[in-house]
Amino acid sequence: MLTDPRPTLAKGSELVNGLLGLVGLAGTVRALAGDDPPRESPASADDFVHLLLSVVSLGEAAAGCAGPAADPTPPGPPAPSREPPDGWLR
Amino acid sequence: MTAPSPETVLAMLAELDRVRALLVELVEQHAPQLLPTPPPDSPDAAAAHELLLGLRRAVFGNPAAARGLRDLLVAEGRRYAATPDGARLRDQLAASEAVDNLRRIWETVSLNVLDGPAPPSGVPDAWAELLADAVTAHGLDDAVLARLHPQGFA
Repeated sequence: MLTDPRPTLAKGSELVNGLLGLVGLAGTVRALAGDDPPRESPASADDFVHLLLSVVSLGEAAAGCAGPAADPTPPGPPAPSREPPDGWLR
Repeated sequence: MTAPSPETVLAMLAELDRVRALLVELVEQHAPQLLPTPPPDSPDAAAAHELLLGLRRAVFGNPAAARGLRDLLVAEGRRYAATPDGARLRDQLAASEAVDNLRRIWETVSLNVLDGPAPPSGVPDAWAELLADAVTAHGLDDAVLARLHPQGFA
């Protein structure tokens, strides 16, 4: 029976942190590539370049685990305004 | 003769890993030039030095696992390079000066021990050769050799 959820939550956050780390590394590798378009006669890619590409691929897979971003605003009628009517304050 | 229990097998595996770690430590003691001391009076450089040294120890201490991981990542990278986005990124990375610098850092840290042929056990030949050179050359006195080397000869 689960009496203290904190160790389980800690394990889960390590996994999340690991996935976040992968996504961050993928962003760093993309930044290394720069914004310039590829040349017409590109240099040959060696194993090191493919190793960096795998980081991007794994980072995209990790980002895909998040799914579509959840909308924090619950559906329903809009909340009433908190502004008091001017006449009441006078 | 009965087969050992799973607990016994696991205990043996744990003990083998402990022995492996002790042997790696022994090799490090006989090849101190592979683990240089950090630069003095520079906390930022010391932090970078510790990070790169940790990476070198991870590669040198676990050559088969490092080689296996590298092969897996390279295969995944080749698979991704077959996609349109991957091919475009591959060409950009191949032409990037920043990647050239990063490659130089990786080659310096790893001393290319993960490259080249590897037997079915997975430990690359380059790793064994480098450590053998580092350990056997430790006892040679360069001052003695320098006296034996005639002037004018390459």
